[in-house]
Amino acid sequence: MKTGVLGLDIGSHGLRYSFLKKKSGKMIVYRCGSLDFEDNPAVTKDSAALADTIKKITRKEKIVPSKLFMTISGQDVFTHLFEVDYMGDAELEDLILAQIEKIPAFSGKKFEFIYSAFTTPREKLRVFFGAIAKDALDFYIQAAVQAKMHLESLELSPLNLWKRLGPKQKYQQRQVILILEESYSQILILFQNECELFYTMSTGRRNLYSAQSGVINAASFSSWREEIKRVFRSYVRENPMIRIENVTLIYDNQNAPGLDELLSKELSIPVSPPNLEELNIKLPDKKTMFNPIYFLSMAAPLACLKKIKSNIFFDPLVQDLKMKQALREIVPVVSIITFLVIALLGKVILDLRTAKNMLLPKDQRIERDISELEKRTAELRKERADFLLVKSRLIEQAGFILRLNRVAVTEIIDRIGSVLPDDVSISDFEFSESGLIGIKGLALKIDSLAEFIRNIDATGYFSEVRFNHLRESQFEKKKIVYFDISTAIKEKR
Amino acid sequence: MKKIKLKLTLGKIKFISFILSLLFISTFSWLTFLNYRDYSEFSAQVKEKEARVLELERDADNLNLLIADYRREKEEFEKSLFSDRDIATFLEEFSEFANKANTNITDMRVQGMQHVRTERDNTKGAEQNEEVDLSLYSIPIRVAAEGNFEHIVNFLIFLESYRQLLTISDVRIGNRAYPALNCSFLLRLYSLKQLSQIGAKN
Repeated sequence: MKTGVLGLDIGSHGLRYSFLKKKSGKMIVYRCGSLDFEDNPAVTKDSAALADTIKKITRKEKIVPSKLFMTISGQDVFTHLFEVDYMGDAELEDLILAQIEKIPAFSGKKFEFIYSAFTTPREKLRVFFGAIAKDALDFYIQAAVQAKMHLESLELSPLNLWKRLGPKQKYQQRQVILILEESYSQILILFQNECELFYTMSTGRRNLYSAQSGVINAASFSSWREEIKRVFRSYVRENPMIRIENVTLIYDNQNAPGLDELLSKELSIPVSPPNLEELNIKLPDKKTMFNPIYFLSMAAPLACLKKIKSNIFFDPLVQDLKMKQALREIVPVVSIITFLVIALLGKVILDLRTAKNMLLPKDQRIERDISELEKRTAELRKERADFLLVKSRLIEQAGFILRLNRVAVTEIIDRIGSVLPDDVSISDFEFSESGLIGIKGLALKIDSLAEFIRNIDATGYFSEVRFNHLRESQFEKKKIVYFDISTAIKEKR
Repeated sequence: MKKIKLKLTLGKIKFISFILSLLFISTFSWLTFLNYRDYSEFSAQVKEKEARVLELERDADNLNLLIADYRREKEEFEKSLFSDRDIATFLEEFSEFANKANTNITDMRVQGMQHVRTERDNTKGAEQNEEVDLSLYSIPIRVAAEGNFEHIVNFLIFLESYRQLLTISDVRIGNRAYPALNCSFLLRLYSLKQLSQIGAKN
């Protein structure tokens, strides 16, 4: 199954189709063909039949069109070119309406029209318009809907040939296009973006060629040729500076073989089908012979693939359909995707909220724990501080006691006793809390007392000995010395 | 008949659909982000609080250990001090040892309990000292005894080597009738008391 875009040229007797795809910058025409109607669906208003015909084409050709382009031609369409004095859009549209309403087929009916207006060198407006009955237009749109295709554009032939028949540089030249349809033919002379001439002739292929033998009818051809010449002469007369140098012939080369060469010979100017190379069109293989008549069905898809803009199509109506299709297809898809994403995000939000709610009791419990622990810690800190204060206090007090009790009384007595000479005796010993030591006693010789004092000093344990009192006396004819000395325990450093 | 002109185009519909979809998705994404941020912040707060609980528990454990150490130190310290019961025991032993040391206790006067004042107490006010409820107190006992030198010294050695904290000061040893000596000294027994207890007693 091939994918691409499908172009349809729907006429009164049948439809032509072409299936294209853009590949490496080239427009490749994969399929072309035509189908004749047994009954014109546009007449029977059987949109389902036309939809079936379109589906039949896709099945037969094994194609999957992503877009559908419809070009309407034939009896349903009225196209006309006229010149008027310059006027505003509203007035111009009223004038076009009046012109269309004059035509019996549109009189009293609802219709739609499209037009393009160009300013001529003579400061006039040249208006090229096409009209189609509203019910016919709705019928084609309905057929596209029933065929379940994306209708990209709906155009009227030959208004859709602008800019589509050659490369840009060719627009600088005049393009003369001759279209040979089954029951009529048309001449268009295009210059740049304007249509300078549009002429419809009642001679078609069926008039030119015999249905049985397929041989050209000389009388009809002669009449047709002369009419073409007249049109050209008339154009040249109006535009004396211009010469018609060549003609592009769009025709069915299978049912009218050699017509281009014959016409070229008769008109004495080159007549040729559209140049595929110039149009950047490529056929899938070299063996395939291209029938120029299919160009009418591929003009619209080509314009789309080449991104050539045109305002000559029923854009609002198609847009309306596209919007409905979009509302049916895009909006649900976008809505579903959006809903799915939102549902997913909603689930994430819900999960996050649930997770947070599950954390709340834990948080409250932790808060309580913190509060209790802070209280307990503060109490413990206070208790510790109290302990430290008590400890510090007790250490101070213990230190104070230690200093008082730094030396044992018995040790002092022992130290004093150990340095006491034999002829010295102690009658009173005092050891005050402040560390002062008072010694009273008697000695048989003053030298012994002096020795006692020296001995005390020599211990290094006591500070310098002071004499408080010394008295000599006689006892049993012996001289004795009463003494009162004091010392203190040396401070340890 | 006018040409139909619709302002909305397929492109616009696609664009509007896309924008609306984007708007909804963005709004919900933003809400999701806000919820996620809220949850993350809350979760981080809970973790911080858990860490705080652990820290507080660790602090409390450390403090408990320190306090247990202080209590043990206090108990150890208290063992080296006199309790009310120890004082009675000591007085019994005091008399017993005096007999054993052949020392005659001629006088023994227990004075009022005194707070052990340090040098800092003299520089600071009394109010500050009262901040500390638990403090060292001394029970001064003025002792007068008789005995010979050796007996008195033995008696003093016994006192100095007593298991609880006591101090001996203001020692005075004088002749009485040789070899008997008079000895007087100030014995201080130390005890740990609470100010409130002292106040109640007073």
